[in-house]
Amino acid sequence: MKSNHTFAALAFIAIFGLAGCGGSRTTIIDDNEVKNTAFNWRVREDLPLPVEPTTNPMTEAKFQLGRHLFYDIRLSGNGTQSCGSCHQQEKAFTDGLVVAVGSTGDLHPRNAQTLTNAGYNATLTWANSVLLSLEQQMQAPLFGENPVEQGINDSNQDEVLQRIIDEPRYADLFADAFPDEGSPITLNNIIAAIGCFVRGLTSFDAPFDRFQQGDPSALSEAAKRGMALFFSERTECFHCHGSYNFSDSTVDRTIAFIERPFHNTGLYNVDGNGGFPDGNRGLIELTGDPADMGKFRASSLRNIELTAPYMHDGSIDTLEAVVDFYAAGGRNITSGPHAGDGRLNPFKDSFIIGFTLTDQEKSDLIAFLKSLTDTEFTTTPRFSNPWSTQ
Amino acid sequence: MKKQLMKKQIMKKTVLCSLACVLTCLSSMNRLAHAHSRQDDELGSKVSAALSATWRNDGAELQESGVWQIPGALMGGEAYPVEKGTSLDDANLTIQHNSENGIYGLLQISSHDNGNEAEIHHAYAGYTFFIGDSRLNLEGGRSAAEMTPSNAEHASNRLFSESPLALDVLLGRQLNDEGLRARWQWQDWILGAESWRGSAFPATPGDNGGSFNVFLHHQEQWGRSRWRTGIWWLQADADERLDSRYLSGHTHGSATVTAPEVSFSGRSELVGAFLRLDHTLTSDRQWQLQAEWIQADVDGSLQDSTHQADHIGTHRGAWVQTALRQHQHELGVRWEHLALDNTLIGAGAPSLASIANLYNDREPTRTTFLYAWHATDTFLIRCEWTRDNSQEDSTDRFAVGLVWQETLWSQR
Repeated sequence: MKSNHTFAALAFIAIFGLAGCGGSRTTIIDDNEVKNTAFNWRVREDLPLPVEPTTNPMTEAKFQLGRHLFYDIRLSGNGTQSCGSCHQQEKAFTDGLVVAVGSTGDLHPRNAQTLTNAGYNATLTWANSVLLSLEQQMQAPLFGENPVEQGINDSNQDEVLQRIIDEPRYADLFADAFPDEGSPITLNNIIAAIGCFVRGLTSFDAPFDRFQQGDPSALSEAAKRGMALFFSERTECFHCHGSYNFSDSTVDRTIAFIERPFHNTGLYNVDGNGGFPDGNRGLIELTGDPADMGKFRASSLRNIELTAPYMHDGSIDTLEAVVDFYAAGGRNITSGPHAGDGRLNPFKDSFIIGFTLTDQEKSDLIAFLKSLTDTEFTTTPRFSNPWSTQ
Repeated sequence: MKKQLMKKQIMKKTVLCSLACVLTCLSSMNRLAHAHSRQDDELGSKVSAALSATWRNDGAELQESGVWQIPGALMGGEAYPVEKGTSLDDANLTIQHNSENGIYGLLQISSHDNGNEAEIHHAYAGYTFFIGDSRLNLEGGRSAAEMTPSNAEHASNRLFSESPLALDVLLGRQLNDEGLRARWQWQDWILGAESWRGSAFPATPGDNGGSFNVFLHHQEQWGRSRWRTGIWWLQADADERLDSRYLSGHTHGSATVTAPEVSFSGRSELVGAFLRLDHTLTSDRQWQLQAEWIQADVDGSLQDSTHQADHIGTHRGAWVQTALRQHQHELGVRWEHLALDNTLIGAGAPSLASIANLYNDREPTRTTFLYAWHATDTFLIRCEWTRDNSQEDSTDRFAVGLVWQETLWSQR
């Protein structure tokens, strides 16, 4: 009996002791030094950084060299076109055209995409699931033949390289960017430097960002209402245009499981079986999988106000028309070579189901989309054309 | 980790097989034992009912998403927040039967936390076997774990209308699952072991899930005092456990709430201790004291659709409560405390800590004062005032509720 009393007494003391103490409140985060970088990304602390290729680490010197090369029209076969020709800063690095035009006049089948936060894209270009790095992607505009963009080829590449060597400003820029190399002016280093510049084109200073950081006045009341609509199950926008980069095809250093989704939005249905116009049919052109018909990557909506016209083929002129398109659950083309009811496209994404908005709600939604415009991004000298300012 | 899980699976299967064999053997033996059930020992059948409904001037503070979560803890199970206005805390109908041949069973149909549908909450059968002067109960079915009496309590049979924070956070309010139980009682000691399918928080069912616990309780009458103390240990394995409270979109008013889709895979080991003292001061005055402490050590990984991080955590919860009753009047107070430590390791750690709301910089506490008027033996009205410091902002709420408990039919 005595031992039983002792047990109870000890339990009493122990529980009271434990109840009152042993407390702490810590959250220790060990991110495996994921934010370590030698480069000033100009990305605020609460956002992750883009993945930095081990074969092409970011440096300020490479970024500055890349900026010069990006805007240098001598980096094309006929010396008339630079990367910046189709990716203009004031248009959030797009060109305002329906489809891009190459240095020899070739029309690209697709609209020039924004380079806003391009370093965060899980895949590059509109519909290529295996194009994962900017350095890899850059081969197409520099050396591509169908269509010709910058038009560098075997017969003119020495001449192009010589133009770069002949520019006095490049000697120091290349030496700073690649200090361990005796003759650093090579096509590989040109690609590496432009890759650094494009990867460094970060944009997180829109009114939406300031609102998120605690400034309630950064968004108008209309934009706030539009934001609620955007993130609602009613419009479903956020499913494909989610994350801090407003695209579900986003990758950064913190991501372990990379998703590379593509979507058919019901833009076409030329044969009644879900077909898209020949030569511009989306991911199916790469994979051959019929289910990939009409699938394209969801672009970031950051700076979307500046990147008209819209969709992969630039076939929608305005943001208002884009909202109407999604509200209708696809596009019904009643005449012409592309006639067909995209709303009935069997490969259409399940989130494109249509919705009804009042005029006020539509206006609110567009106000929110416009709140993603980062004017610092489109005006900062850091990203601007050095050949026109110096 | 894989090795541990395999070992645990083998151990669980062994226990389950052993219990199944014992049950089979017992069913063929000569039944000499007196009937017994966990609820009470009387032979025969009984139907009882209980109900608790409460009006509150305010509900628990929710996250911006509408999810109720104590920052720093992954929650789940049945730990729903109290809401503003009138709500049905708990309503249940219990049917139990103890037969002379030692077999007994219990079925409880209930609705909890404003649930719109009644569900089978408990449904189990058992057999009592006497070994010398000790008693062995073997039970199987759906029931609440017995490691601590608090785990089996509802608003209708608890002093306070709100479940203790520690149970909400560490056990999803109540570990109620399908499984097997063996309880051996000798004199004032009870030793028990339970093996669960894993459908109750913090475990998940399936090959990599399930839970298992053992407990040792001691109860004693000492003059005018009655003690019950106990210690317990629980191991729960989870495989991609999500916050099941909001999986199908829990509703608050007209809004549907969806929790962040961050899942936990790994092991939780919980230890706990409790003390309950009932002391009769005079013939019409009773004093009650209760204290409980629970610690959960979690070791596993968190992931969402794109991020992954290792997660190690030590979460402690405790509460102390006391009440004094004279005639029909009862005054009580409960003080609760949580301490939540988390370590997240990996490139996805900052994102997951933020998405899963694991950043915490405070020790949540909650204090509740109670006055209850026992109008009759079966009916009471209780008033509670709660200062809730479990969230970033401290809130106060007032509640008035009624509790009814009645034996509807008995054949004993």
